[in-house]
Amino acid sequence: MKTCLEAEIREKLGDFQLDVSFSLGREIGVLFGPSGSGKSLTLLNLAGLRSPAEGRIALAGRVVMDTRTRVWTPPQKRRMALLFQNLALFPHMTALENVLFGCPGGTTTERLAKARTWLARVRLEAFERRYPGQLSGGQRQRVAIARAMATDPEMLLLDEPFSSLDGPLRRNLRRELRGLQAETGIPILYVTHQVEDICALGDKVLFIEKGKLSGSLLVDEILEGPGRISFWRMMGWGNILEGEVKVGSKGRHCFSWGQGELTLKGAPRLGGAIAFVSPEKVRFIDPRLPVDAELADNVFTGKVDETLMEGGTLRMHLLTDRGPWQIEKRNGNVPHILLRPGGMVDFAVPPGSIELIYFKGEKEEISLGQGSAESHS
Amino acid sequence: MERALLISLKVLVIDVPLLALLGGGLGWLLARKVFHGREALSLLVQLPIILPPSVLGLYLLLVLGRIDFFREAGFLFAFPAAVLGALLPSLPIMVQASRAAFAGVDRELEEAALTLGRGPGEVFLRITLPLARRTLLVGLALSSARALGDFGVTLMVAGNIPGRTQTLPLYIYGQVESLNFAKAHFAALLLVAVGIVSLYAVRKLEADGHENLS
Repeated sequence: MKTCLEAEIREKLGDFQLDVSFSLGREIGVLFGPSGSGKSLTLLNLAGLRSPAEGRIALAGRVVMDTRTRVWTPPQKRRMALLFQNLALFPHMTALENVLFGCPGGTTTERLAKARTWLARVRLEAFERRYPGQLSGGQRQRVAIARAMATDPEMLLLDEPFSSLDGPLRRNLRRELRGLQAETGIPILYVTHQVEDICALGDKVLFIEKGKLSGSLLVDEILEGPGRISFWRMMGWGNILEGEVKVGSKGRHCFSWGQGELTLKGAPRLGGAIAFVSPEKVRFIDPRLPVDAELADNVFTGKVDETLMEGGTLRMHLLTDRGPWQIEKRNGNVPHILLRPGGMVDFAVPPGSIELIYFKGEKEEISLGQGSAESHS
Repeated sequence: MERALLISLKVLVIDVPLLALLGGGLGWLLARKVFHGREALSLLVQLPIILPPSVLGLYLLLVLGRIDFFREAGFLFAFPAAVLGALLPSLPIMVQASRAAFAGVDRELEEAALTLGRGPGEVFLRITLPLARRTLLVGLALSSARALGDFGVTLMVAGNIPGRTQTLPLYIYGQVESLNFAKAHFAALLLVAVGIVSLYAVRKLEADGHENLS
């Protein structure tokens, strides 16, 4: 994809150091990282609301900022529309006036027509006289998008504008944003700390951590293919083991790594591989009940190290004699007694849930192994 | 009394725009700019609120009396001194209101306006000023009322010269001194009425402001 935005930003703010460099084509890039990782700061720098100590930003072949050649385009001339987290709608202006504010020069009639077109594009033509305070959360988001798009931007920057909305609304807005991008072809950079935004919205994801980019992936690679493992690695989530597939003592195929063995389903190819077990596929075992024969070989006992509850999801870090394990469960599937750190938990890794990626020569990940095909069962 | 009323009105005609520009400007400076001596300036501007009017008047008298320009222009004990005397103690009220008004405007709205392609001047006129307007008007109403009612500072620097520097509050004082209570009452009632109207205006401004935000 042809590069549209090139950015290189270095800034120091007290103890925090931002040092990022990336490019983006006519696509949706998702800048993903935890709070305080420098996501918003990156956007402010792109928009020209901060001036970095060092850096260069070029948009569609136009250098808008370069500290070496002392090029500085003020925010009002950058043509980068920025959607703030709390939208920054002007409370003293109606929806129409807000959008009109973004419309560049022309006669009043032309500008008015344009503002109305954009309001209609986000299906808010009936609400043009309402003030932001009289609109719902979703409607406010759409006014903000219309206002940003009415400026004829060459790039759209979004700072988690959908984070305060509930699920269905967020899905709708994401769909609208994708439609908008497909229609206008402008690059969009979307900042988020929510995993679901990555695949639902992005073409490309940039991982940012402590002010530095820790990697980037195409979303297609995350959904299928070896990129998936890199994705989990960058997210710091998922059970990733390095070892080999071999025939075990009981004559069954198993995956062996430094600290233990896992029985595999079927007879996958032998050789060095990475085994990946998605945390939501790991099952809790009730010690009072007999264990399913299929699972019997893959039962572990672990001590709860940390329990996190996010939304309706429980994430648990366990320490076992065979290394750390991660388990993720939707609410309601968890015996409450298990939640306390320090408690002991039995769990099993279903053989069908183990995905294998084989090494080719020097530890190069090539393709998903046979085991993976069964993992979707 | 008509003459005193006229002088008071003339003082207001000059002081109200001065309060708006000077007080509004100083408040904006204090709210939005970081510079050396900002806190010192803030203290200096607030000082007239707590100083007794006679102390304020005394220093003003001393300072103005030492500067040749003011002395030669016949500034003291003349109408310009009445204007200044009313302005000085009311300025802090306006500065305080204006500082709060500008500090209360979300910076993000101004930044958003910039990214929407508008220059800083337009952003100030169309975003900052309208959003700060109510608090600014409240400040202007209260400080103008204070200017209209000034007694002490005016007396110290402008004296109590009927037809030249005698404003309504000084007129009341003069009438009471000569035991003309009827005339004093009439002028006093006028000031009370002005006070009630301006307080009502302030209340209304504040109430509308809350309505708009909800």
